[in-house]
Amino acid sequence: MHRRNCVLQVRVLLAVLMLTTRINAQVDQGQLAERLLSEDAAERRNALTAVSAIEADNMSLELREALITALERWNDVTAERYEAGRRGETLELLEDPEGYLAFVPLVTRLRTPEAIPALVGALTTGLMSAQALAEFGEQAVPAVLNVVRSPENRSPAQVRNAVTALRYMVEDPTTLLTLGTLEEIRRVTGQLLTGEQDLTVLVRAIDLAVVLGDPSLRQIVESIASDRNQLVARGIEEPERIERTQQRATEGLRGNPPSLPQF
Amino acid sequence: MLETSLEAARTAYGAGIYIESGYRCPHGNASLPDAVSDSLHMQGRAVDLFREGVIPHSSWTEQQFAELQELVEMEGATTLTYDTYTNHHLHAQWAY
Repeated sequence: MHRRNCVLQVRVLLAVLMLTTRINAQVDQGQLAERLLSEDAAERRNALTAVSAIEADNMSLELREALITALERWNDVTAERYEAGRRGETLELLEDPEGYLAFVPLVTRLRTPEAIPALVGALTTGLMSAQALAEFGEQAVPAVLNVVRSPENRSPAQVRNAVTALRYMVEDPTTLLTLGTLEEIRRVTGQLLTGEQDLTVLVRAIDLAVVLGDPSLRQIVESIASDRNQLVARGIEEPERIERTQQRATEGLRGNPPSLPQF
Repeated sequence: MLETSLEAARTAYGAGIYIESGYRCPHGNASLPDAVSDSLHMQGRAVDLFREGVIPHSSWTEQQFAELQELVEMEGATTLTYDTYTNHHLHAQWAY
């Protein structure tokens, strides 16, 4: 009887301990969520370091939402500064700009559709968010296509990386895209190839066109590869830029577009 | 990874790249007024770049910046845009 009581007491004690630990973990994550959204850069940095050690599956909803919100805030700041730069305004130095990049891998690991808008905004930072978006497949297509279709007031970085997000989707055999989506991607790519674009957007469209394998798109890429006037007509006049672009088109047509980084 | 990726980007760029800042020891990092305390420069995973020959740095054009940025993105770097840094260097890091 005495032994059974002891066992029972130990079990109760263990249960209480586990519950306390769990509550503490939740409280800590709640505090971390608040600190991620702090106005103080050092506070955010410290919270980021702590959050980096938590597996995405073990993050509370509050913490996940805070990560997404924090990335969206950075996206907004970047977009505002892009606009201000276009207006010729003098930009103040940002406090902890590298903090922006620190949020990107954390949000990509969440693998939740709620992160799609934040990841679309973070396309300005490179291809990590592009690949994460591609993993959502059809679910992310409208948001990604929206960036490509409306490049006005967006940085070329965001537009070209949206184009490459589409390329990640097209190249991944496990990503199932509907025929309608593929047709829309082909149509948009054709527009990018024939219109006047930022050069960096054009070269990514060339890469996408060759992996799409569409004969009419291929024909446009062939004309770019062989006729420098095609690029002059698109506003690209410097010999080194023309040569680099034609080389990229030629390599793509040979089946060697630049390989995509895997994160 | 950083060295290989940068070399690949430089080759594709077809012009020299000026590295303003690569690895920083903690002491050196702390001595910089605008460096963050846990910068990836201290792990050898970040670089600050200019196009070679673009001195003074203010003459580094947005287009030049974008073209080099595009190439380092293809090498797996995450980067900060032209407007993020007012002193207009290209910060690229490999952190995954």
